Amino acid sequence: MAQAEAVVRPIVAVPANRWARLRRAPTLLIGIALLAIIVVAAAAAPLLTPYSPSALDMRHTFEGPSRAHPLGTDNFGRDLFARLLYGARIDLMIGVFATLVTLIVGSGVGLLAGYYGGRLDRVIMRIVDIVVAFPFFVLVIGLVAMLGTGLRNMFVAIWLVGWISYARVVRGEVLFVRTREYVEAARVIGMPDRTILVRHVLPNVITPAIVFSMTDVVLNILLGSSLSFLGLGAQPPAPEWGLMIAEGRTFLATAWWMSALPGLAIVITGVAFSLIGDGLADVLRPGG
Amino acid sequence: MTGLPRFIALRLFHLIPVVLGVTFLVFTMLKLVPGDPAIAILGIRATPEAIANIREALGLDRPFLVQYVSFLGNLLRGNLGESLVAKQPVLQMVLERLPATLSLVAMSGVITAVLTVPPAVLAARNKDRPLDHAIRGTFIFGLAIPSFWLGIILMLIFSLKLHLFPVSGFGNTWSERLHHLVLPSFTVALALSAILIRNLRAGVLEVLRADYVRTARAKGLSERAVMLRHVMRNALLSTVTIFGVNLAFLIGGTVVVETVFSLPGLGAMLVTAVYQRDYPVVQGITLVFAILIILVNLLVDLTYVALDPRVTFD
Repeated sequence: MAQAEAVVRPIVAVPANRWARLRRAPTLLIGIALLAIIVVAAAAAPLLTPYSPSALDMRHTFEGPSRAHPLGTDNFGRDLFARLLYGARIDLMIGVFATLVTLIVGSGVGLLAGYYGGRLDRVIMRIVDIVVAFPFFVLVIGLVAMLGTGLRNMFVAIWLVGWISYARVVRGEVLFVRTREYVEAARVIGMPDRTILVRHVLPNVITPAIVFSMTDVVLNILLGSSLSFLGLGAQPPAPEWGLMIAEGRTFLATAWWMSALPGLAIVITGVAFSLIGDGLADVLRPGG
Repeated sequence: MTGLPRFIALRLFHLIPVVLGVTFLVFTMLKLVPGDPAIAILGIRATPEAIANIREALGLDRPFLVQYVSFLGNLLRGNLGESLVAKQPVLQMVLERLPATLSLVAMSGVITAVLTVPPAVLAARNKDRPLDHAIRGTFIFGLAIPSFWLGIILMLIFSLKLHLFPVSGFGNTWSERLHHLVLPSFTVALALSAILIRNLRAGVLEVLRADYVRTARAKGLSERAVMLRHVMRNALLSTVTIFGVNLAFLIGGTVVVETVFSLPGLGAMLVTAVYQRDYPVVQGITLVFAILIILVNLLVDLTYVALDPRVTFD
């Protein structure tokens, strides 16, 4: 046991030069800084604005930016700045929650399929083949159609389809890793499968999945806001950004900012996660 | 059978389990409806008679496997079921809407190529220089832009303010339709090229390092000839593959864009069917999209074989 540990350690541990590389990965740092600002703004929303995101004020509708309303108001006189801040909570939750569950489930499935192979692997890969034949977006809409609209069912639909990408990525990595000497060694000394999987396989296969999950957060925020835009996800009066874009559409010619600002919020949040993903890919790239 | 016919036959053979699986998944989707689908459609105040009618129309009054086999049998006869709202065959409705979606996909594909190839080549040839960073940075932005929002902004600028393009709809003549498709196609294409450009840049970089490129340069070919005859031809190979992989993404993108621009395509019809709980239409369109992707991927495989002389049919 002790010997196997000694063999494994240097491969699993984070090389010291990664920390040095971290400092030279400006995209990662910019991304983290940007995301931190968004998270703090979402968390501290009640401190940053006196308005509630759903407080109606029919005497002050369609107002442009002013001292009282820094980003103006919408058709119900609701403060747009407040709605954007509180909306960040919903959209961040969509991106992170949708991705986290699919990352964990998909990686688990890929780990088991790749490690044990055989019939389990064949069945899972058949399911993967079938699901990837559908356009992701269309399948999710189809599932929401059946489950019923709303944020909760939207999550279920994304989970049902989203694990596939992670299962594929992780399985491919496991197929390579399981033939390596340190896994063989662990098996020879009689280490139980569970320990081998968790301690020796998982740490060596999870990096690509984590890098992909950053892009996936962006895709899930886009997906969630698209579904809400279509009326299938978050429901009014929730200040979800996609829903806000849909509500502003009717007033595009006169109050374009109602749709333009929430879109910008999505872009900025997406860029933050993209930069982190880009930087992580650089920092975690093995051997470089 | 040898060569191309054998290759195609083999590929078609391998498609059978996937197509079967796809039909099974579409069929079981209906089982996800919480409670009784008939009540979900009609509401709790519906008469027992009306509920029985819907249950019969959806085939819910029979055992699960019998339902699936008759679903398959109907599919083979080209019967996708009947819309609960329009009371029309789903296949007929799909065929009416297909041209708009296919035109949008085709035109988006062309615009994607125009948006992807030149910047990717420029970025690769200026690797790690400011131009490379600028191009990659621009497309990181592109990746985060929601297409429904981009569509709205383009509509605001080019239709409502500048009056260059129609606000929505599809038109009747060919030139009218082309005009109507410009903004929607551009919207779909920008999202897709944001994904593709990274891959093509990597592909060009790899080819630029290849021995035959060095040889071509060494024998004194002009840079233009090297790029066109040696680099692009090989870099396009990988791009065709990536295009196939991302086709599902492109087609998925049309759904929301059709809705934004009120294009009478399958995507817009899908969204309407979801609102109306018209389950047979939802199932039909989902199935048609999947079959479409399977067919085009087959086509991509064949294109790949045609482009690369090293790939043989065996």
